[in-house]
Amino acid sequence: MRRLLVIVMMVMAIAAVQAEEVTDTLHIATLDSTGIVQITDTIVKVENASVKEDTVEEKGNVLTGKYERLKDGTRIYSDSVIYQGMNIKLDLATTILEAALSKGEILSFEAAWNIRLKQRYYPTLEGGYVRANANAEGAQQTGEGGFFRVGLDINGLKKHPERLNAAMVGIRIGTGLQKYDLMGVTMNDNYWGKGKRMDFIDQFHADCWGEVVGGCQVQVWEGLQMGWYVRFKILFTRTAKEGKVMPYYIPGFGYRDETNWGVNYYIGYKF
Amino acid sequence: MKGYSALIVLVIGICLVSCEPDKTCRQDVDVRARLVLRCYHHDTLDVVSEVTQWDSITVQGVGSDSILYSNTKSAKELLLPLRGDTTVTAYTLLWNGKTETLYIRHSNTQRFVSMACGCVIYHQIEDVWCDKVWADSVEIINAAVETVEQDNIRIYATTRDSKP
Repeated sequence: MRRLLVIVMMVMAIAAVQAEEVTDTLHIATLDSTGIVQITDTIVKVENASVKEDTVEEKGNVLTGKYERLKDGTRIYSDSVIYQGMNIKLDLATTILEAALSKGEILSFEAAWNIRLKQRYYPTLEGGYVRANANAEGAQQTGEGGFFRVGLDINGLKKHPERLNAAMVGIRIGTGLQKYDLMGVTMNDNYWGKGKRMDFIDQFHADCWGEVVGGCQVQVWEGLQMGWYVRFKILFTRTAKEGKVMPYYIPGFGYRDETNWGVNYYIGYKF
Repeated sequence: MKGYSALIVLVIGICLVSCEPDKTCRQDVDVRARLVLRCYHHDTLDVVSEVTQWDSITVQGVGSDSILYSNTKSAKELLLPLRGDTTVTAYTLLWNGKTETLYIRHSNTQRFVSMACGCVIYHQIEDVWCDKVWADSVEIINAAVETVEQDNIRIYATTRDSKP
Protein backbone atom coordinates (compact mmCIF):
# COMPACT_ATOMS: atom_id res chain seq x y z
CA MET A 1 0.00 0.00 0.00
CA ARG A 2 2.80 2.28 0.90
CA ARG A 3 4.63 1.39 -2.32
CA LEU A 4 1.47 2.14 -4.34
CA LEU A 5 1.14 5.52 -2.67
CA VAL A 6 4.74 6.39 -3.58
CA ILE A 7 4.11 5.33 -7.21
CA VAL A 8 0.95 7.46 -7.39
CA MET A 9 2.80 10.47 -5.98
CA MET A 10 5.63 10.02 -8.48
CA VAL A 11 3.18 9.81 -11.36
CA MET A 12 1.41 12.96 -10.13
CA ALA A 13 4.73 14.75 -9.74
CA ILE A 14 5.83 13.79 -13.25
CA ALA A 15 2.45 14.83 -14.56
CA ALA A 16 2.76 18.11 -12.72
CA VAL A 17 6.23 18.72 -14.09
CA GLN A 18 5.08 17.87 -17.60
CA ALA A 19 2.11 20.20 -17.22
CA GLU A 20 4.45 23.02 -16.25
CA GLU A 21 6.87 22.27 -19.03
CA VAL A 22 4.71 23.07 -21.98
CA THR A 23 7.63 23.50 -24.25
CA ASP A 24 7.92 24.81 -27.73
CA THR A 25 10.89 24.57 -30.01
CA LEU A 26 12.09 28.10 -30.15
CA HIS A 27 14.72 29.31 -32.53
CA ILE A 28 15.62 32.73 -31.41
CA ALA A 29 16.23 34.90 -34.39
CA THR A 30 18.22 38.06 -34.17
CA LEU A 31 19.34 40.56 -36.72
CA ASP A 32 22.92 41.32 -37.39
CA SER A 33 24.11 44.80 -38.24
CA THR A 34 23.29 44.35 -41.92
CA GLY A 35 19.72 43.34 -41.20
CA ILE A 36 20.27 39.64 -42.04
CA VAL A 37 18.42 37.19 -39.81
CA GLN A 38 20.74 35.01 -37.76
CA ILE A 39 19.02 32.00 -36.21
CA THR A 40 20.38 30.23 -33.15
CA ASP A 41 18.99 26.75 -32.41
CA THR A 42 18.37 27.30 -28.78
CA ILE A 43 15.46 25.58 -27.15
CA VAL A 44 13.96 27.67 -24.45
CA LYS A 45 11.06 26.90 -22.21
CA VAL A 46 8.07 29.09 -22.64
CA GLU A 47 5.04 29.06 -20.46
CA ASN A 48 2.42 29.27 -23.13
CA ALA A 49 3.12 28.45 -26.73
CA SER A 50 0.23 30.47 -28.05
CA VAL A 51 1.22 33.86 -26.68
CA LYS A 52 2.24 36.47 -29.17
CA GLU A 53 4.47 38.38 -26.86
CA ASP A 54 6.80 37.15 -24.19
CA THR A 55 10.18 37.41 -22.67
CA VAL A 56 12.84 34.77 -23.17
CA GLU A 57 16.41 34.50 -22.14
CA GLU A 58 19.15 33.26 -24.34
CA LYS A 59 22.78 33.23 -23.29
CA GLY A 60 22.17 35.97 -20.80
CA ASN A 61 20.47 38.28 -23.32
CA VAL A 62 16.89 38.98 -22.50
CA LEU A 63 14.77 39.44 -25.61
CA THR A 64 11.42 41.06 -25.15
CA GLY A 65 8.72 41.91 -27.57
CA LYS A 66 6.32 40.70 -30.17
CA TYR A 67 7.44 37.92 -32.40
CA GLU A 68 6.50 36.57 -35.76
CA ARG A 69 6.38 32.82 -36.37
CA LEU A 70 7.76 31.61 -39.67
CA LYS A 71 6.70 28.32 -41.29
CA ASP A 72 9.60 26.37 -39.81
CA GLY A 73 8.64 27.39 -36.33
CA THR A 74 11.20 30.11 -36.04
CA ARG A 75 10.16 33.01 -33.96
CA ILE A 76 11.61 36.31 -35.01
CA TYR A 77 11.88 38.80 -32.25
CA SER A 78 11.82 41.90 -34.33
CA ASP A 79 12.94 44.24 -31.63
CA SER A 80 15.93 42.18 -30.72
CA VAL A 81 18.42 44.46 -32.48
CA ILE A 82 18.19 48.22 -32.32
CA TYR A 83 20.56 49.28 -35.09
CA GLN A 84 19.76 47.64 -38.43
CA GLY A 85 21.90 49.39 -40.96
CA MET A 86 22.16 52.74 -42.67
CA ASN A 87 21.28 54.24 -46.03
CA ILE A 88 22.98 56.92 -48.09
CA LYS A 89 20.86 58.56 -50.77
CA LEU A 90 21.37 61.08 -53.54
CA ASP A 91 18.49 63.26 -54.65
CA LEU A 92 17.88 63.61 -58.38
CA ALA A 93 14.54 65.42 -58.50
CA THR A 94 15.62 68.67 -56.86
CA THR A 95 18.73 68.98 -59.00
CA ILE A 96 16.93 68.34 -62.28
CA LEU A 97 13.71 70.23 -61.58
CA GLU A 98 15.32 73.31 -60.06
CA ALA A 99 17.75 73.58 -62.95
CA ALA A 100 15.00 73.05 -65.54
CA LEU A 101 12.44 75.42 -64.03
CA SER A 102 14.93 78.19 -63.34
CA LYS A 103 16.53 77.75 -66.77
CA GLY A 104 19.88 77.01 -65.20
CA GLU A 105 19.78 79.87 -62.72
CA ILE A 106 19.64 77.55 -59.71
CA LEU A 107 22.08 74.72 -59.15
CA SER A 108 21.13 72.44 -56.28
CA PHE A 109 22.60 69.20 -54.94
CA GLU A 110 21.13 67.21 -52.09
CA ALA A 111 22.03 64.00 -50.28
CA ALA A 112 20.53 62.18 -47.33
CA TRP A 113 21.68 59.71 -44.72
CA ASN A 114 19.51 57.70 -42.40
CA ILE A 115 19.76 54.70 -40.11
CA ARG A 116 17.18 52.02 -39.44
CA LEU A 117 16.30 51.36 -35.83
CA LYS A 118 14.07 48.51 -34.70
CA GLN A 119 12.58 48.23 -38.21
CA ARG A 120 10.49 51.28 -37.50
CA TYR A 121 12.44 54.45 -36.86
CA TYR A 122 14.73 56.28 -39.29
CA PRO A 123 16.68 59.18 -37.81
CA THR A 124 17.65 61.24 -40.83
CA LEU A 125 20.23 63.84 -41.75
CA GLU A 126 19.97 65.68 -45.07
CA GLY A 127 22.25 68.27 -46.54
CA GLY A 128 23.08 70.04 -49.72
CA TYR A 129 24.66 72.88 -51.61
CA VAL A 130 22.87 75.53 -53.67
CA ARG A 131 24.07 78.25 -56.00
CA ALA A 132 21.22 80.59 -56.85
CA ASN A 133 20.64 83.46 -59.22
CA ALA A 134 17.10 84.71 -58.87
CA ASN A 135 15.33 87.84 -60.00
CA ALA A 136 12.00 89.51 -59.31
CA GLU A 137 10.63 92.94 -60.21
CA GLY A 138 14.02 94.08 -61.46
CA ALA A 139 15.92 93.01 -58.34
CA GLN A 140 18.58 90.33 -58.61
CA GLN A 141 19.94 87.85 -56.06
CA THR A 142 23.22 86.04 -56.54
CA GLY A 143 24.54 83.80 -53.84
CA GLU A 144 25.51 80.36 -52.66
CA GLY A 145 25.16 78.40 -49.49
CA GLY A 146 24.35 75.13 -47.82
CA PHE A 147 21.56 73.60 -45.84
CA PHE A 148 20.97 70.84 -43.31
CA ARG A 149 17.86 69.10 -42.13
CA VAL A 150 17.54 66.69 -39.25
CA GLY A 151 14.48 64.69 -38.39
CA LEU A 152 12.86 61.36 -37.88
CA ASP A 153 10.83 59.10 -40.17
CA ILE A 154 8.51 56.38 -38.98
CA ASN A 155 7.87 53.34 -41.11
CA GLY A 156 4.17 52.57 -41.35
CA LEU A 157 4.59 49.11 -42.84
CA LYS A 158 4.38 45.96 -40.73
CA LYS A 159 7.66 45.11 -39.07
CA HIS A 160 9.75 42.40 -40.66
CA PRO A 161 13.50 42.00 -40.48
CA GLU A 162 13.90 40.89 -44.07
CA ARG A 163 11.51 43.37 -45.63
CA LEU A 164 13.47 46.57 -45.93
CA ASN A 165 10.89 48.57 -47.89
CA ALA A 166 9.37 51.39 -45.93
CA ALA A 167 6.46 53.79 -46.29
CA MET A 168 7.36 56.70 -44.14
CA VAL A 169 6.04 59.84 -42.57
CA GLY A 170 8.26 62.15 -40.64
CA ILE A 171 9.26 65.58 -39.56
CA ARG A 172 12.31 67.75 -40.18
CA ILE A 173 13.85 70.90 -38.88
CA GLY A 174 16.02 72.63 -41.42
CA THR A 175 18.42 75.52 -41.66
CA GLY A 176 19.82 77.22 -44.75
CA LEU A 177 22.90 79.42 -44.62
CA GLN A 178 24.08 81.56 -47.48
CA LYS A 179 26.15 84.52 -48.61
CA TYR A 180 24.52 86.62 -51.26
CA ASP A 181 24.17 89.98 -52.99
CA LEU A 182 20.84 91.68 -53.59
CA MET A 183 21.04 94.22 -56.39
CA GLY A 184 18.44 96.76 -57.47
CA VAL A 185 16.04 96.43 -54.55
CA THR A 186 13.13 98.88 -54.85
CA MET A 187 12.72 101.57 -52.23
CA ASN A 188 9.00 102.23 -52.08
CA ASP A 189 9.31 105.99 -51.88
CA ASN A 190 8.08 107.25 -55.20
CA TYR A 191 7.31 110.81 -54.13
CA TRP A 192 10.55 111.71 -52.33
CA GLY A 193 12.89 109.01 -53.56
CA LYS A 194 11.69 108.88 -57.18
CA GLY A 195 11.67 105.07 -57.24
CA LYS A 196 15.25 104.73 -56.06
CA ARG A 197 16.84 101.27 -56.03
CA MET A 198 19.50 100.02 -53.65
CA ASP A 199 22.20 97.35 -53.67
CA PHE A 200 23.05 95.15 -50.70
CA ILE A 201 26.43 93.46 -51.11
CA ASP A 202 28.05 90.63 -49.12
CA GLN A 203 25.01 89.76 -47.10
CA PHE A 204 24.75 86.68 -44.91
CA HIS A 205 21.50 85.15 -43.76
CA ALA A 206 20.38 82.02 -41.94
CA ASP A 207 16.84 80.76 -42.35
CA CYS A 208 15.04 78.12 -40.36
CA TRP A 209 12.00 76.04 -41.21
CA GLY A 210 10.09 72.91 -40.32
CA GLU A 211 8.82 70.15 -42.59
CA VAL A 212 6.29 67.37 -42.63
CA VAL A 213 7.36 64.67 -45.05
CA GLY A 214 5.87 61.54 -46.53
CA GLY A 215 7.38 59.04 -48.91
CA CYS A 216 8.80 55.62 -49.42
CA GLN A 217 12.05 53.73 -49.63
CA VAL A 218 12.16 50.60 -51.78
CA GLN A 219 14.88 47.98 -52.12
CA VAL A 220 15.49 47.46 -55.83
CA TRP A 221 18.42 45.10 -56.02
CA GLU A 222 20.91 43.96 -53.40
CA GLY A 223 21.60 47.11 -51.41
CA LEU A 224 20.40 49.46 -54.14
CA GLN A 225 17.27 51.37 -53.30
CA MET A 226 15.02 54.10 -54.65
CA GLY A 227 12.48 56.30 -53.02
CA TRP A 228 10.67 59.58 -53.05
CA TYR A 229 9.46 62.17 -50.63
CA VAL A 230 6.87 64.91 -50.74
CA ARG A 231 7.59 67.74 -48.32
CA PHE A 232 5.45 70.48 -46.88
CA LYS A 233 7.65 73.24 -45.52
CA ILE A 234 6.84 76.04 -43.11
CA LEU A 235 9.26 78.93 -42.87
CA PHE A 236 9.96 80.24 -39.36
CA THR A 237 12.21 83.20 -40.26
CA ARG A 238 9.75 85.49 -41.99
CA THR A 239 10.68 89.04 -41.14
CA ALA A 240 13.93 90.85 -41.69
CA LYS A 241 15.67 92.61 -38.86
CA GLU A 242 15.83 96.38 -39.04
CA GLY A 243 18.10 97.50 -41.86
CA LYS A 244 18.67 93.93 -43.06
CA VAL A 245 17.49 92.26 -46.23
CA MET A 246 16.55 88.65 -46.79
CA PRO A 247 17.40 86.41 -49.75
CA TYR A 248 14.72 85.50 -52.27
CA TYR A 249 15.89 81.91 -52.64
CA ILE A 250 16.62 79.82 -49.55
CA PRO A 251 18.86 76.74 -49.88
CA GLY A 252 16.88 73.64 -48.98
CA PHE A 253 13.60 75.53 -48.77
CA GLY A 254 13.11 77.11 -52.18
CA TYR A 255 11.72 80.52 -53.06
CA ARG A 256 10.90 82.57 -50.00
CA ASP A 257 7.29 82.22 -48.95
CA GLU A 258 5.50 81.36 -45.73
CA THR A 259 5.06 77.77 -46.90
CA ASN A 260 6.50 75.74 -49.70
CA TRP A 261 6.31 72.27 -51.23
CA GLY A 262 9.14 70.05 -52.29
CA VAL A 263 9.73 66.71 -53.95
CA ASN A 264 12.74 64.40 -53.79
CA TYR A 265 13.51 61.32 -55.81
CA TYR A 266 16.34 59.39 -54.24
CA ILE A 267 18.71 56.71 -55.41
CA GLY A 268 20.57 55.18 -52.53
CA TYR A 269 22.50 52.28 -51.12
CA LYS A 270 21.98 50.34 -47.94
CA PHE A 271 25.05 49.51 -45.88
CA MET B 1 -1.04 50.74 -61.92
CA LYS B 2 -3.52 53.50 -62.58
CA GLY B 3 -3.19 54.49 -58.95
CA TYR B 4 0.57 54.76 -59.24
CA SER B 5 0.28 56.85 -62.42
CA ALA B 6 -2.11 59.25 -60.72
CA LEU B 7 0.23 59.51 -57.77
CA ILE B 8 3.21 60.28 -59.99
CA VAL B 9 1.23 62.95 -61.84
CA LEU B 10 0.15 64.45 -58.51
CA VAL B 11 3.72 64.52 -57.22
CA ILE B 12 5.04 66.14 -60.39
CA GLY B 13 2.18 68.65 -60.33
CA ILE B 14 2.91 69.62 -56.73
CA CYS B 15 6.56 69.98 -57.59
CA LEU B 16 5.93 72.21 -60.59
CA VAL B 17 3.57 74.44 -58.62
CA SER B 18 5.93 74.66 -55.69
CA CYS B 19 8.98 75.37 -57.79
CA GLU B 20 7.35 78.19 -59.74
CA PRO B 21 8.29 81.41 -57.96
CA ASP B 22 5.92 84.30 -57.53
CA LYS B 23 7.89 87.19 -58.99
CA THR B 24 5.17 89.79 -58.56
CA CYS B 25 4.78 91.88 -55.44
CA ARG B 26 1.30 91.23 -54.05
CA GLN B 27 1.73 93.01 -50.73
CA ASP B 28 0.60 96.52 -49.99
CA VAL B 29 3.79 98.50 -49.54
CA ASP B 30 2.24 101.97 -49.44
CA VAL B 31 3.28 103.75 -46.25
CA ARG B 32 2.01 107.32 -45.74
CA ALA B 33 0.96 109.55 -42.89
CA ARG B 34 -2.77 110.21 -43.02
CA LEU B 35 -3.84 113.77 -42.28
CA VAL B 36 -7.48 114.49 -41.41
CA LEU B 37 -9.34 117.75 -40.91
CA ARG B 38 -11.61 118.99 -38.16
CA CYS B 39 -12.91 122.40 -39.15
CA TYR B 40 -15.51 124.41 -37.22
CA HIS B 41 -17.50 126.48 -39.69
CA HIS B 42 -19.44 129.54 -38.53
CA ASP B 43 -22.21 130.64 -40.88
CA THR B 44 -23.61 134.16 -41.19
CA LEU B 45 -25.89 133.56 -38.20
CA ASP B 46 -22.87 132.28 -36.25
CA VAL B 47 -24.26 128.73 -36.19
CA VAL B 48 -21.32 126.31 -35.89
CA SER B 49 -21.07 123.15 -37.97
CA GLU B 50 -18.26 120.65 -38.18
CA VAL B 51 -16.53 120.10 -41.52
CA THR B 52 -14.27 117.09 -42.02
CA GLN B 53 -13.24 117.44 -45.63
CA TRP B 54 -11.43 119.96 -47.72
CA ASP B 55 -13.65 121.24 -50.51
CA SER B 56 -10.63 121.94 -52.70
CA ILE B 57 -6.98 121.61 -51.71
CA THR B 58 -3.53 121.58 -53.29
CA VAL B 59 -0.64 119.88 -51.49
CA GLN B 60 3.05 119.92 -52.30
CA GLY B 61 6.09 118.71 -50.41
CA VAL B 62 8.57 121.38 -49.42
CA GLY B 63 11.67 120.57 -51.43
CA SER B 64 9.81 118.58 -54.04
CA ASP B 65 8.91 119.87 -57.46
CA SER B 66 5.91 117.62 -57.89
CA ILE B 67 2.43 118.36 -56.59
CA LEU B 68 0.86 115.60 -54.51
CA TYR B 69 -2.76 116.84 -54.61
CA SER B 70 -3.75 119.36 -57.23
CA ASN B 71 -6.95 121.24 -56.50
CA THR B 72 -8.48 118.03 -55.24
CA LYS B 73 -12.20 118.22 -54.48
CA SER B 74 -13.90 116.82 -51.38
CA ALA B 75 -10.76 115.35 -49.85
CA LYS B 76 -11.59 113.52 -46.62
CA GLU B 77 -7.98 112.77 -45.83
CA LEU B 78 -4.56 113.54 -47.24
CA LEU B 79 -2.02 110.74 -47.55
CA LEU B 80 1.39 112.30 -47.08
CA PRO B 81 4.60 110.33 -47.81
CA LEU B 82 7.27 111.08 -45.23
CA ARG B 83 10.89 111.43 -46.20
CA GLY B 84 13.19 108.47 -45.67
CA ASP B 85 16.40 110.44 -46.07
CA THR B 86 15.77 112.96 -43.30
CA THR B 87 13.72 113.28 -40.12
CA VAL B 88 11.61 116.35 -40.91
CA THR B 89 9.04 116.45 -43.67
CA ALA B 90 7.17 119.61 -44.59
CA TYR B 91 4.13 120.12 -46.81
CA THR B 92 2.36 123.22 -48.05
CA LEU B 93 -1.43 123.02 -48.01
CA LEU B 94 -3.22 125.58 -50.20
CA TRP B 95 -6.86 125.89 -49.09
CA ASN B 96 -9.28 128.79 -49.53
CA GLY B 97 -6.52 130.84 -51.11
CA LYS B 98 -4.24 130.57 -48.08
CA THR B 99 -1.12 128.42 -47.83
CA GLU B 100 -0.44 126.59 -44.58
CA THR B 101 2.87 124.82 -43.99
CA LEU B 102 2.76 121.61 -41.97
CA TYR B 103 5.93 120.23 -40.38
CA ILE B 104 6.31 116.62 -39.24
CA ARG B 105 9.33 115.40 -37.28
CA HIS B 106 9.70 111.64 -37.37
CA SER B 107 12.11 108.73 -37.08
CA ASN B 108 12.61 106.29 -39.96
CA THR B 109 12.98 102.53 -39.94
CA GLN B 110 13.83 100.70 -43.13
CA ARG B 111 12.15 97.32 -43.49
CA PHE B 112 12.77 94.76 -46.17
CA VAL B 113 9.54 93.17 -47.38
CA SER B 114 10.73 90.86 -50.13
CA MET B 115 12.87 90.93 -53.21
CA ALA B 116 9.81 91.52 -55.37
CA CYS B 117 8.32 94.20 -53.13
CA GLY B 118 11.56 95.80 -52.07
CA CYS B 119 11.95 97.90 -48.93
CA VAL B 120 9.53 100.16 -47.14
CA ILE B 121 10.30 102.82 -44.58
CA TYR B 122 8.17 102.91 -41.47
CA HIS B 123 8.00 106.11 -39.47
CA GLN B 124 7.33 107.13 -35.92
CA ILE B 125 5.96 110.65 -35.66
CA GLU B 126 7.61 112.56 -32.83
CA ASP B 127 6.22 116.06 -33.29
CA VAL B 128 3.97 118.11 -35.59
CA TRP B 129 3.50 121.84 -35.90
CA CYS B 130 2.26 124.38 -38.46
CA ASP B 131 2.54 128.08 -39.32
CA LYS B 132 -1.09 128.70 -38.25
CA VAL B 133 -2.09 130.51 -41.42
CA TRP B 134 -5.48 128.88 -41.78
CA ALA B 135 -5.00 126.13 -39.20
CA ASP B 136 -5.56 126.66 -35.47
CA SER B 137 -3.56 123.67 -34.28
CA VAL B 138 -2.37 120.22 -35.21
CA GLU B 139 -2.07 117.03 -33.15
CA ILE B 140 -0.75 113.50 -33.39
CA ILE B 141 -3.48 110.86 -33.26
CA ASN B 142 -1.36 107.82 -34.01
CA ALA B 143 2.42 108.09 -34.07
CA ALA B 144 3.17 104.87 -35.93
CA VAL B 145 3.10 105.21 -39.72
CA GLU B 146 3.20 101.71 -41.19
CA THR B 147 0.25 101.66 -43.58
CA VAL B 148 -2.20 104.11 -45.13
CA GLU B 149 -5.11 102.76 -43.11
CA GLN B 150 -4.80 104.75 -39.87
CA ASP B 151 -5.34 108.42 -39.15
CA ASN B 152 -2.06 109.83 -37.91
CA ILE B 153 -2.43 113.59 -37.71
CA ARG B 154 -5.45 115.82 -37.21
CA ILE B 155 -5.41 119.48 -38.19
CA TYR B 156 -7.90 121.90 -36.64
CA ALA B 157 -9.23 125.00 -38.35
CA THR B 158 -12.01 127.57 -38.06
CA THR B 159 -13.79 129.16 -41.01
CA ARG B 160 -16.45 131.86 -41.13
CA ASP B 161 -18.89 132.98 -43.75
CA SER B 162 -18.54 136.68 -44.32
CA LYS B 163 -21.59 138.56 -43.11
CA PRO B 164 -23.57 140.44 -45.74
